[in-house]
Amino acid sequence: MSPQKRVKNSETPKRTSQGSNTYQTNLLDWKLKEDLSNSRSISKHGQKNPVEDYVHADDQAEDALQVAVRYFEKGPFKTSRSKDKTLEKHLKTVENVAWKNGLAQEEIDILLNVTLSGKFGSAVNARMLKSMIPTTLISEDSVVKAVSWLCVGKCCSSTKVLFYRWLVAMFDFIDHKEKINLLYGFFFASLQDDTLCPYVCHFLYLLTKKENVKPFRVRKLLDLQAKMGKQPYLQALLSLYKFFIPTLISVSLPIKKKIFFKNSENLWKTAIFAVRQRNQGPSPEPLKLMLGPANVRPGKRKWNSPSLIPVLDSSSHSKEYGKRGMSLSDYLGRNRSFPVEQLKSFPQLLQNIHCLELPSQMGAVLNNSLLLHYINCVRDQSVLLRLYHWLSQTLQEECIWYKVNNYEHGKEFTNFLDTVIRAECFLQEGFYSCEAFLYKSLPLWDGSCCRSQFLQLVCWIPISNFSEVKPVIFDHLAQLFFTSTIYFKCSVLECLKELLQNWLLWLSVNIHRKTVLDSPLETTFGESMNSVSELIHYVGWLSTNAMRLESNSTFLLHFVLDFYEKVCDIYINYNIPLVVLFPPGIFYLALLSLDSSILNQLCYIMHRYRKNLTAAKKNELVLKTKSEFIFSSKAYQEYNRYLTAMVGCLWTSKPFQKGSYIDPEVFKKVGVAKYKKSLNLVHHPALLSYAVSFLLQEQPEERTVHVSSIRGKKWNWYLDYLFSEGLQGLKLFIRSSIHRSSVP
Amino acid sequence: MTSHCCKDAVRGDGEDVGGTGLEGIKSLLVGTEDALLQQLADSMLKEDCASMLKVHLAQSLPLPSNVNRPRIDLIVFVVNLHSKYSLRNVEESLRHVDATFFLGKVGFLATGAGRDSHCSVHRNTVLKLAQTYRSPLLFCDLEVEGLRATMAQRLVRMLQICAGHVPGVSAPSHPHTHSYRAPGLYPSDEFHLHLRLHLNKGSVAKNSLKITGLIHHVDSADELTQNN
Repeated sequence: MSPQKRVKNSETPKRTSQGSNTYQTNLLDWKLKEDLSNSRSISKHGQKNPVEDYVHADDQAEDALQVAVRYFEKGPFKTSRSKDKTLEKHLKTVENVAWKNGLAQEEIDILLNVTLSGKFGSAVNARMLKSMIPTTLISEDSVVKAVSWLCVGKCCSSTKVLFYRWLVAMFDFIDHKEKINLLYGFFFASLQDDTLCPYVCHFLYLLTKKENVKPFRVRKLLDLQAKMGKQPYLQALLSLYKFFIPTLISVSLPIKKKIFFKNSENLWKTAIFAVRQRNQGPSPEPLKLMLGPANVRPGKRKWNSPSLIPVLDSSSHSKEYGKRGMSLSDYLGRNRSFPVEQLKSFPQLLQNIHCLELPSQMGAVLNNSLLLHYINCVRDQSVLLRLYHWLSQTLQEECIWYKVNNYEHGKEFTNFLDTVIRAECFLQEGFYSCEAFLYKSLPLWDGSCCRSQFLQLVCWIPISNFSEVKPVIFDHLAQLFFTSTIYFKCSVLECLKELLQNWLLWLSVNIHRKTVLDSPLETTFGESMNSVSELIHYVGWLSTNAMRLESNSTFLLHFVLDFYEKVCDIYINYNIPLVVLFPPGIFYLALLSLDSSILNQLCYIMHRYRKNLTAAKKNELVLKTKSEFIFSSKAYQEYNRYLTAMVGCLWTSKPFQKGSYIDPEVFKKVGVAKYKKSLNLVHHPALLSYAVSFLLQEQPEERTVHVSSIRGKKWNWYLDYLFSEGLQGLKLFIRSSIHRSSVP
Repeated sequence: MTSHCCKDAVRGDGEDVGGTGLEGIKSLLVGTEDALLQQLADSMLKEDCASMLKVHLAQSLPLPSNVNRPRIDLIVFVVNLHSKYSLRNVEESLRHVDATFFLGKVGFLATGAGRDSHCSVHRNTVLKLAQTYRSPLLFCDLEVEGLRATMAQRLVRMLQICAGHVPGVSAPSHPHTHSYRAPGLYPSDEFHLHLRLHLNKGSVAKNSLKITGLIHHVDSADELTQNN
């Protein structure tokens, strides 16, 4: 191309397109025609003007930049010492402006051209590429032009590598991608270059849509894999293909997902952050997700730091559509797409659901409940994959303990996590990226920073094989649990309760399908059941030990029993044939507790266990088939054992007699000869105060009360008194489990 | 081999009783990162701890044998993931530790895992080391004050258990050293296992009552009734 021509053309946009035809390869020019001029004029209005209004110093920098850009456009004519100096000067100018404010679309366009045309040496090219940072967005056409230079083969492979890395890093900032996607075949062919392969793979991973997956490409990829070995980047692309069209690929790929690509955008990391900041302006306050119109952003900003989540933006789209008439995708028989920022209500979503064009920065959907609805039901997996990819990267990059020097970013990261969690709650399912993030980060977590956010992420771990998740999540959690404070223990138990609930809900929805095909690991229903029961046993193990470590704290025991309140009702509430009793270490602690509310809660749980077990039994008798799952006789035996112990202590005053015979001598030695009655409803340490106030109620004057006098009819009155004092659990338990015959 | 350095950081005014009494808790931090160890020790000493806490620092083991050593409740080996030397040093020192310490009185602390790119020692390498010695591995970037403080807190809690200051729990039985295995047997259940209460063959009820709650799993749904 001739540089002079380009300079003139930039002043008269109409002719640019025509002029540019001369240097475009045939493949490209038909696509570029209508588009170039528009993006030009937009960038002029959109970006230039505000920049000019800035401070004077900025103006000067702008001018210097213009000079520099023009210099590069013309290119070096002779290489001499003085030229080197001016080159250096102009390079510096470009770098400074780029890292400070970013470059406008057209500047990037010119400089990309210069870089890839190979006019300068590779060192200069590298520096230029590194400073290719957009103020807001990069026009798609610049990228297409740049790619066309790759065909000419004028730049060395290191520049190509850097270019692909740049593409990957800036992917989110390219205004749209249809045309780039049309070059899919070209990118795919570049896979053959060994040095380029990893980067091209990463780029393709971002670019691939379902229609790009073709049998011949799969074959090619498999060939490459055979040649180069099982490279993670190839496997990533293959697994993406498999994800889109599972029938095409029969090779087994690693199910355990890991991070396939080295994070190649480190070069531009701070720059990207700055661009994001610029793109979104003042950060929106975290939105309340709700069903209904998403009003986009309340004006006030809460924190000074911007949120990490981009704002919905497809402005370049909508404006263009007005002018352009038919778009390329229309030629291909697609529907006109509907810009997301115009989406305001649920009916609107329903009307346009077939032609919704998602924002170029996928993270924006997290703040928009309507788009979350869309994500939830959309068939196109690439949408989810894009979201996951964005989420994984952001989590990884912003996570506090990965950037030791930037510890003060905590607030920002916390807000970000909050938004992600809100979205998860809204969708009622966890994001895969968060799970992967937990796998990697939980070992490094100190248990205190972002505690509630982190634990909430744990709550949304999708159900999968427990023994597989255990080493990556639960072992680390246990270690933290045992070495941390009692408050941490309580919050972990609370979180595990939520997790159990989420698993149960998922299971109860999927119970009718015997093999669950949807689940990521293709677990069978039985396996999922096993996982749930193992989770419960795991919590049993945690809590038994925690009670010992915290010297039987009542506070902690409340949290443990809360968990079992959920467990005991699984059969009735979720219709899942699973009954797991609590471990003895918890049962006996609760039974012998000094706290009446604990005893009450225990009674309630026993009552619910009974309800569930009898319901299960009835069902079994009706169906005449034994449920194939967990209903071993063990649950019944355990329940009976506990029940006998409870009745023995609280009611019949014969504790620890049957089976667990304890020599009375032992009690004598300890100095409690009259142990038998000491655990009944009257003498039980948790209830003794009730007995006393019951007696005092009758005879307020009495100075000495004999609690042993509560028997016979008085015993019944006493019971009524206890019930009236709010011990409803006890009431339910006695009503259901102890039948008193009317004739003594 | 002699130790390069052994500093003591002590809080509290109690006398060192030579490791016989219960009143003092003593820990030993071993690692090449002098400054970090010192900072960690300082953070540990700031923690609330009922008994007198002593933190000894050493670059490597064995400690010089001519000094009268107090009993040590917990040895923490600090591995800096950014330095291979630090790992080698710890591996070397481990050979001088008495086997009984590995019953719950040794811990590994890996620092620097946050900055992946700087790591010259892989996380799995340390993990394997810790597994080989059946000891817990903790991660913490000691440079960051906030993280260091929470780690200090956790270490002090571990120490209290190792020193026997938490009733009912001892170092070898401290659950953080084992990972959770199969369901069924819970560590503290031994007592309850012989508290087996079987379904009664004699009379349960004293006053005329029946327990309607008992559920048979055998074959009939008959309720168990007892009357005197």
